[in-house]
Amino acid sequence: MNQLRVASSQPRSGTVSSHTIDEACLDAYQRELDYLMRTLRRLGVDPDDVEDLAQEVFLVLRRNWRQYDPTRALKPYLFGIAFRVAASHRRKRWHEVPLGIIDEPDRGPSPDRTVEANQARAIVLDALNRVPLKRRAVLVMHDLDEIPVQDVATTLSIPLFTVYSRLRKARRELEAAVTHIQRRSVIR
Amino acid sequence: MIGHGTSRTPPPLPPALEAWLAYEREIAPQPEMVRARALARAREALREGDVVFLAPRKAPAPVRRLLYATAAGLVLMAGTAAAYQMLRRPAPVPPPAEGHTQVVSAVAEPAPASAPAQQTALEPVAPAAPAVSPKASAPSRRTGVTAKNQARLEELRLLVRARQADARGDYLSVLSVLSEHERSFPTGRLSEEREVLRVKALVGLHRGGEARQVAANFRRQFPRSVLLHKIDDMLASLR
Repeated sequence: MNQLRVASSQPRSGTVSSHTIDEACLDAYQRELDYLMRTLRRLGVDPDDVEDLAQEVFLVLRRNWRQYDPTRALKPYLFGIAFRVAASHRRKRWHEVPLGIIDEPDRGPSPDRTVEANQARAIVLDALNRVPLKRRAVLVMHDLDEIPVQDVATTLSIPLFTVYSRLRKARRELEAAVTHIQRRSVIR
Repeated sequence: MIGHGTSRTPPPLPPALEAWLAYEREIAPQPEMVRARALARAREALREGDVVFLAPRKAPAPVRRLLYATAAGLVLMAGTAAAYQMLRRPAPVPPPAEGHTQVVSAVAEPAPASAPAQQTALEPVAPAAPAVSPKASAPSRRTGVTAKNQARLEELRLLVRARQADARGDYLSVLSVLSEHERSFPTGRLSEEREVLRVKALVGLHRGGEARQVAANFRRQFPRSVLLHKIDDMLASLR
């Protein structure tokens, strides 16, 4: 269980290093911003809330930047923060989250994408939203971000066995959801 | 499937699912405006110096242990108190001799002092009688018994009297009590049982014509009654 808290981070003795950390953190955030925003969408965050939650992720990232091991990949670490922020957001607003179909609006120009790809992405995102968050996180990390299962287990603080079982079930649920959405679109 | 845990690689994705996920793997860049806005917010947060962070919402371990222990203690005390109350409660005094008649009387009105002692051998009351259980015989703690309940108890009391007379073979008394019941409760909840008793009494008095008439009325009034077979048996005994 996590909670959002506001705490002051007044500059301490190491002001110079703090500035460096700020820059490094901001640089990493800038590099992974697209990934982060897409991940938040995959985790079921409403498009209107993505920017706010990305900002929260950044603040958490900055706060914990000293604990981050730069020799390891940033994406799993970022995903872990995004997952906890999204879960916390979901807990706070669970009664407001629509359970129906969430359509994926096309945000911004994308001349190189085909209509078919856009539709397919919308279907996948819609289907992902039907998979419970815990299992969805495992599936997104492993099957979409191609993060090894060991790293998934470490990032989400769950046993390896649990990763496998969640992944297996999430795949089944995703497949069923995609089939359902396709059928529904055919009927329409 | 889980066996793949030993090989450290999960099973491959089904081809259909793989095709769908391939679309989603490609991450399209966010619009420049969105990126610029997000980065500006991040820079501003760094300038302002306020950081929101995720912290585990855990009470310190000793505090949590204390809370659990307190909760467990409260539950235990409540359970003990409840058990003590149940054990200390005086057992309900069983009705002295009159079975359900006494039961009814205890709730509705005092039992007649001249109740005959032979009524101990009464057969159970009609099927609807279980509405009055021995538990209900204990003096109600509620301050007032509603008039509706009183009427029901009175209705039951009359039928029990008829049953008692029937058990003694006093069919004339049965008919008398049943007439009283019919006058007081023409559409009472126990009118079905009343008519069955009436047929029984008429058969007992060898008044076959009247018994058949009452049975025919009964059939019209309660075409789906579970007591129809009883009436048939009684009429059959007339032949």
